[in-house]
Amino acid sequence: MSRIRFLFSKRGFAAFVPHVEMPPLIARSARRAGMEILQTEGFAPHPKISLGPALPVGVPALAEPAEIWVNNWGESTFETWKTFLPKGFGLLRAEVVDGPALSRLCKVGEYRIFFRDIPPAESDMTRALDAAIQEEGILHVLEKEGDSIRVVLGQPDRFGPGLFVKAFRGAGLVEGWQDLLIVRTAVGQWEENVVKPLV
Amino acid sequence: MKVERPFEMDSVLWPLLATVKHPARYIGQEWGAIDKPSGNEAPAVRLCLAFPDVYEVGMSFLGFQILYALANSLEGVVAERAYCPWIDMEASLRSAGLPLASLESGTPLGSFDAVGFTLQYELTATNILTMLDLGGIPLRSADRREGDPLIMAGGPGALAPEPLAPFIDFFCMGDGEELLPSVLQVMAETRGYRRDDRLSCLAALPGIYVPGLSTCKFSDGGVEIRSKQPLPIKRQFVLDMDAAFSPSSLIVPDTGIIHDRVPVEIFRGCTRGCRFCQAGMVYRPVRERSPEKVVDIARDLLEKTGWEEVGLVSLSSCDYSGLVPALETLSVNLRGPGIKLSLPSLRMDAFSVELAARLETVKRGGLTFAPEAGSQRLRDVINKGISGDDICATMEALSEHGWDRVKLYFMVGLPTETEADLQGILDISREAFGILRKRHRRAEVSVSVNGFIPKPHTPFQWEPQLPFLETESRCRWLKRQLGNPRITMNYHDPRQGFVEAAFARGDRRLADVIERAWRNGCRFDGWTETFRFDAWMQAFDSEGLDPGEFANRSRQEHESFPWDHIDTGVTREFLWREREKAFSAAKTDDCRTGSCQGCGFSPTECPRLGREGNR
Repeated sequence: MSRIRFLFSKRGFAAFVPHVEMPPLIARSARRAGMEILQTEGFAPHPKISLGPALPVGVPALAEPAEIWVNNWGESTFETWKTFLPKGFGLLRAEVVDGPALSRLCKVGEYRIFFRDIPPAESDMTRALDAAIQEEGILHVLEKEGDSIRVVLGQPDRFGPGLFVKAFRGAGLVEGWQDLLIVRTAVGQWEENVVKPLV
Repeated sequence: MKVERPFEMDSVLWPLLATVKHPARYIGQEWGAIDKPSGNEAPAVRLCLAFPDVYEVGMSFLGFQILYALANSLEGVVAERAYCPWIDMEASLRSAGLPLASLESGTPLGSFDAVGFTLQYELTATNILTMLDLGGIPLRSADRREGDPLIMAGGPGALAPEPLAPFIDFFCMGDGEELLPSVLQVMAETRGYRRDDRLSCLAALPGIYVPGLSTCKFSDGGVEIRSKQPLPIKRQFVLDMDAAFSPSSLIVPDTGIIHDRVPVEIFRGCTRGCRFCQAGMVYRPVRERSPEKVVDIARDLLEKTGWEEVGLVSLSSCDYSGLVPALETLSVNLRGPGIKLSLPSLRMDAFSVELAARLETVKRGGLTFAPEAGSQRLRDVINKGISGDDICATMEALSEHGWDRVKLYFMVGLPTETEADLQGILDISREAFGILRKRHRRAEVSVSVNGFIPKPHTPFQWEPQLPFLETESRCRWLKRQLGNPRITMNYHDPRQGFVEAAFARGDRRLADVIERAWRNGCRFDGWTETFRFDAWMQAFDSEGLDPGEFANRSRQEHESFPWDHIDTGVTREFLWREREKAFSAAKTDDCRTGSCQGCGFSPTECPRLGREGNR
């Protein structure tokens, strides 16, 4: 049995597939690729798959971490598996891991926010997020970067894109999801002001 | 790392999807959906399969999985799909000025050569209008221009097509595997012809009804339909299920749907002969698939789709003669851990419970059974071939196998129903509870009651539906009498059943009511939260029609019905005979175990009769 950690992307309309639907989607693609997935113990056994922090519907992601436990992982499995994902989903990397649970490793989430109109001032956004978070040490970065705003937030299981929209709406900077596009670019460890991916 | 402006920003649909409920309904691009690049060679026919309800309902419909694969396997044909947008998405599309488009290529419905609806349920009629209108297609056949797609419709609703006749260019009667290839071939061959000429060519095919070629005359004797094409239209069906087209893969949804599994048909048709059941009459004869073929299909589709569950589906799966060998082979052959096998529509006997107990999927949660009526007398009237002993034995078996709850389905307002029959519903529910309670402290029985809806092409097609107020008061009475918090009861809104009944046996005049109701805002009328009874009654009123005339009226033996021009294979004489037997509570055997009941098929059409002839 191998515990496989992998990074997947979710682009285009695939971003509208809810987070809770990801385990069956991943399991089905794995089965199509001939992988035998370990089943959880207990009353209602299901394929053993762990996801990173929840990603709201409508947020494309470039590199989401997840784990799957497989009985017959081989050298070519990853390349085969790649070809069995539905359109919009991609597999970037995979490796056999052990050690702490995925959830304990996801320390920060990194985002790019694109506005349909002219972006609000960074200071306004920072103020809005600070007001919404009310906790020290969560907002690591908020800076302009080309067309977008780059944001890095700690505790990604608690604070995510939903918070941006709520905070910006509260501050009168946007009306809602229709005014912006948030992309999660990475999830991982926060080391020397860089997000270090988990694979 | 600089991130470029993402392509998602350029999608016109994105802001809509970002704000509607369940946006995944509208995204398509599932595993198994076609992704044909638009090459140089334009297909001869572009077909859009249109399901007049939301995605998660439509994607659970096996028929479209079959027709989608079948059409796409044909040279020169591309088939795509569309589902009805929920009310929020319809409003968003309208305010953005965007059309309803196919999931695969985003092509507006109006740009297809043909749009094919399935008519699974009377109360999806307004959704058809929504889809046509949002797709940029005139609602009425008579208003369509040369460049508009041909609008076709199939499914059980097509067998009583008149209320929808003005909206549909042609109806397909029977199994799609038989009809669709020739329809598509004629469409390809008549490409460039005038619309009328194409429809005339289609009308020459067996099983195709072009309502535009016909007229209706209304009189006291009923409705007389005359047509330039020969009537009646004969329903076409697959004779050999092993030879019938079966998809080599399926579309696998990215999100949960109602029946989230590989469906494998084990047989078509049912000859139990329940007199209220339309499916049991219009899908005859019984055509079984061999267990070897069932196992092959199941294994193959599980491998191709990666689905974690396979369901053996039919109208009454425990009646399948190959069930034991199929289940035995499948349970040793299922690929990989965690693959489940399910068996919907359980018969009410101990054998079915034993079977269910062996299937992992149904071990948890409760099982559902349908005694349909509360007394033996009434069960004989409807020819529901189960006895009180069967019911008790089923409950005992359930309880023994560890189940502590059960769901029971009943109908209220069946012909000849009396208070004693209603009392019977209470008795059965209590008895079931009592049996479960002997072993399980937390026993629970949930009872679901629905008003009876007389359907065309059944022995009860002559019968009046109980007025909805009476149905409601009977349901309420039942609920009041229960007196046990561990037995719960719910019933469907009888008003919805009333509208369904009016359309089930309606004629062409009802098209105006449908359009009026749709213009008054009726949508998703089969959904409790969106059904608007007052708007429907207003629509009937505005058109000067009384829904009670269609729903609550008792019909004469020889009245001409607006579905008499459709020949399902079962004769009207057989249906009347069954009706007469119903009123004397006389049972009719299932011809699979008893003698032939002469329902109307010839020995070349009926596998059972064919076997007899070979002896």
